[in-house]
Amino acid sequence: MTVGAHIAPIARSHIENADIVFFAGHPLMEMWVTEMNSNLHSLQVFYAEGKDRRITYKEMVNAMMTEVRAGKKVVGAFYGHPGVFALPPHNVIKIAKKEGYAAHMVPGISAEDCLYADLGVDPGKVGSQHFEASQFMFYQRQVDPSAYLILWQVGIAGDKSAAKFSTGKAYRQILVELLNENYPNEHKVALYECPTVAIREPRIEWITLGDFIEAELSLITTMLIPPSQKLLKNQSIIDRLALLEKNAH
Amino acid sequence: MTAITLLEKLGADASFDPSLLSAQDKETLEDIISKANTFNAIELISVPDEKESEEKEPEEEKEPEEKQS
Repeated sequence: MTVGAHIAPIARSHIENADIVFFAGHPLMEMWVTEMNSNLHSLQVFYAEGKDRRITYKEMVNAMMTEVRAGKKVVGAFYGHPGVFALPPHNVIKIAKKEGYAAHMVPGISAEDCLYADLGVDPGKVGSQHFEASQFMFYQRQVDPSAYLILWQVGIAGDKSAAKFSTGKAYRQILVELLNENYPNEHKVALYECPTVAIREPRIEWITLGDFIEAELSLITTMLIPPSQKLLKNQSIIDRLALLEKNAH
Repeated sequence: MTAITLLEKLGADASFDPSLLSAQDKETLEDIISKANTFNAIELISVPDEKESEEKEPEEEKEPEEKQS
């Protein structure tokens, strides 16, 4: 998300009026948010390579809840939309509510929103499916190849440990083979990263699916896979609907 | 204007033309951008075994009671 651009007025107001702000995001954004409220505590300190992120996320939630229980007005500000592909914000709100505190989420602008704008993709055109890349690999999912497929967190695709900051080519090879069930290696896919600052361009890199194995990925890379098949008519439903209209006259 | 204020203005003010930035401002911005560390944006976990997954919702923690026959 981009410094200065991607924040809702209500989110900014909550940050400015909080007793304490917990922040998870880019260091430049952290500096930006610190200008809104100087009592900012970074949640990035809880991450560590080799450390199970389940522990990291619990520590984030505990840090926020400690201040809530102390009677403070607490804001958790997260990169993108706090409720999209983000576990700690959902968990902390559930726990706070369970303990009787008022808590709610304010929507933000996610990588998905930026992707649609920067790539000129409308998810309503043929439909859109979103999966976390590792979950897509671990579970048997039904892919509709006539819709867009968007894979999140591809930089750590296949990480069973929940402790890696990246996974390698062997992992991506397996992901590509899984995708080959619906998309040939020559199929064009886009690697996307939203710019953090307005003087940078978004990363929009069109490559073949086969080249994904060798691609450079970061922790904010999202992969867009356009449809490989055309929409197929559901003729029996169309006929039934036509019959309804005919009988109505 | 501080570097972060400049970046905020660049992101929020559509009438603010980046080409009008002074050489010193550009240098300041490039400096702050280059010095910014990478960060971890991974905020979701998927594990292969559902039982290993993240803490369940409070409502889901309780096992459903067996129906009395």
